[in-house]
Amino acid sequence: MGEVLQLAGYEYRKIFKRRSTWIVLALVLLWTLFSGLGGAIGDFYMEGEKVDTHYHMAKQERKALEHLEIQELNGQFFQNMQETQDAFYQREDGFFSNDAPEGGWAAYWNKYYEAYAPYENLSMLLAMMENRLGGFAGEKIDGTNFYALRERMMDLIFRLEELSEGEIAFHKEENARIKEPYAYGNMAGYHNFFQMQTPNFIFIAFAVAIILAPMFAGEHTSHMDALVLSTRFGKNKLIWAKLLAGSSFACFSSIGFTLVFLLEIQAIYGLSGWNLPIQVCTDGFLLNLPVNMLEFLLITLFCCVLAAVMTAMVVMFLSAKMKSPFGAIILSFVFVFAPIYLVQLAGGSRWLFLLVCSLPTAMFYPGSVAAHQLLSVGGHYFYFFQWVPVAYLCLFPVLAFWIYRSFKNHQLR
Amino acid sequence: MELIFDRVTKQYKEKIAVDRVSLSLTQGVYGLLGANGAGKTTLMRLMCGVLRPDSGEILYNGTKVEEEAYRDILGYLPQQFGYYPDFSAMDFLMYLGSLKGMPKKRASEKSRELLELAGLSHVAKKKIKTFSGGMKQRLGIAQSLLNNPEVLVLDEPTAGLDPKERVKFRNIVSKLGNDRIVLLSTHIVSDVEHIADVILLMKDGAIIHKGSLEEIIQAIEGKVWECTVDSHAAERLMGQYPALNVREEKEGTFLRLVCGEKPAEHAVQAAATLEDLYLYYFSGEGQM
Repeated sequence: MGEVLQLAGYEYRKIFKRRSTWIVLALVLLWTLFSGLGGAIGDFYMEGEKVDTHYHMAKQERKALEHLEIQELNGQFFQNMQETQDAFYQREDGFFSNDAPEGGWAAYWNKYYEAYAPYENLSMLLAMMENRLGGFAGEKIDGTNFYALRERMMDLIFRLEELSEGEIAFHKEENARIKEPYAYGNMAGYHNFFQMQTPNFIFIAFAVAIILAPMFAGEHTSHMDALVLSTRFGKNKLIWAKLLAGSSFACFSSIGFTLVFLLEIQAIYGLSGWNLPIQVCTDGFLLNLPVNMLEFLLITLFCCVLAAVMTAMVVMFLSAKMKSPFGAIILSFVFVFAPIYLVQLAGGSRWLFLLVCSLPTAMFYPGSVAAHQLLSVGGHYFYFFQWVPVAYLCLFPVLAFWIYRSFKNHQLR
Repeated sequence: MELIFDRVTKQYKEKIAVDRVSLSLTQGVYGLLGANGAGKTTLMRLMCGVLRPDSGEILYNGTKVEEEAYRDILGYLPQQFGYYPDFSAMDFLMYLGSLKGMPKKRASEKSRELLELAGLSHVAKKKIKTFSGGMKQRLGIAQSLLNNPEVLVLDEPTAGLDPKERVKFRNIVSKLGNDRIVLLSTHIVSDVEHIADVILLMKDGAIIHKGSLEEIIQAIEGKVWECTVDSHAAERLMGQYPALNVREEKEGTFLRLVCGEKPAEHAVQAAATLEDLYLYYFSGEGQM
């Protein structure tokens, strides 16, 4: 084992001695910084007049959500929201107008937003509900019908997704475990995290492809293969060392960049709403999983890291087979990118849907890991985040074996 | 200590690179001579286990060359010596030491010793990409000796070395041959002449001659002639017999030929050399 670790250390050295590694990691870091800070950059305009900065609005929202008087989505909360909205639309002359009020839009906006900030997220949830239910036909949403309407919305979604009776019953049971009224607070940080998790990890996947493509193929292009394969450990421990280095690199870089991202999120939006149900943010509103923000973050992060490691294994497999890093990179890019489009085509077939959504890129989507479509085994139902990691863990040794055989049996030309 | 090749064959599509070679090598230095495409590099790759024969097998003291136990005692310098450009010489040797299963301390000591031997101590910390061709080749030789191998395979080891470095290399290798099997391939006949105990001539995938220098030279001993003739006679003689050397001089055309009888009136017999034998077999003509 010591020899494998020592050789893995040398593989890390080889990875970090390449200039391309540093360039790619720098680009991913830049993207990560941008994805965390990007939402807070720039200004907010009303009728062509700058009224606020996004950063200030984020700070205001955070402050408002962290100091809520009512910390659950109950009747009083909805009533307060309605009153605040009405106040925005009401002018001294009784009419709403697009003309700038006295003092300008900026002053008007600041006064309004200070009161409205805690309700902005809820208004997005209601907009989602309205979109799914196709209008409320005059029904006014308040604390008395919000949860019933949400159930009605979920029923519609289940029918559209052609779920089985068993799945629907399962989801209803899960939903029943979520405490109502929902606890409410600062979910903004988690919302921003879930929003940017997918593009961040897609970037990481591309980086993994570029950095790990030379892992095996690079030995051939640098003509080191003859030397390496003639050494004592060249056909056994070295291969395990490469696999260890490659998969651990994917794991550590995923976690590392995620931590950077979380630090940014904490600095701007805060992460205090860890124990709120995921249903209070748009990313979890359509899910019936009875978990809180922190639990869902950990679930999605676990899936993403595992998917990044699976991507690394596929890249290394291509590297061992293709003898050229360039070819491995091209095919890896196709592997990372294809599921984004394949998901659209897979809607008609349940099994194709399950297959496509189990691919690593699909597992980067928070909505995918807890999708309504479940795997049924022996009368039990399993979410993607439950069965896909098991499938990956079974596939890892298979891929490792193929990679081992490919490199070990490589014949020089 | 015995390395046995038992009817080893390797074919690439329609070309037979190694044709039913059967050999037995014991300790000493073996020089493998042959023209380009004769199968030398293929034979060496088969011997190092980086190529699988289509038939036959190679065994070292009863162990197959595919096994780890054999690779543990093997040192190999490939024809196309690969390296990691951004590694320093010391890093590279330490890495190969790890690959050869050497403990870190031992690898460090041996690396320093070999860098000294190869005249690379002063550039131990410099990146290999800054090295000249000769320096890279010396590094390649150094790495092949890291694990004190019992079987040392050197494919064109003196390529890129200047005459002084070649002499130094010859001295190192001839000492090594005392207690291990050394097989080196080269186009430089003088290298083989000076250090090989046994010379193997390889042509079209087969070993056509094996023996000491004196033994294999017997094939053309007494048949090497030198003469100076006019251009017409030179043309006629070159068409008839294999020409080993042709040189224009004031008096006429100087020829060194291999032929069974005296080719011209003023021809004098010359002592055959290994180069004569090489040219005789690999110039494309081999008739007496």
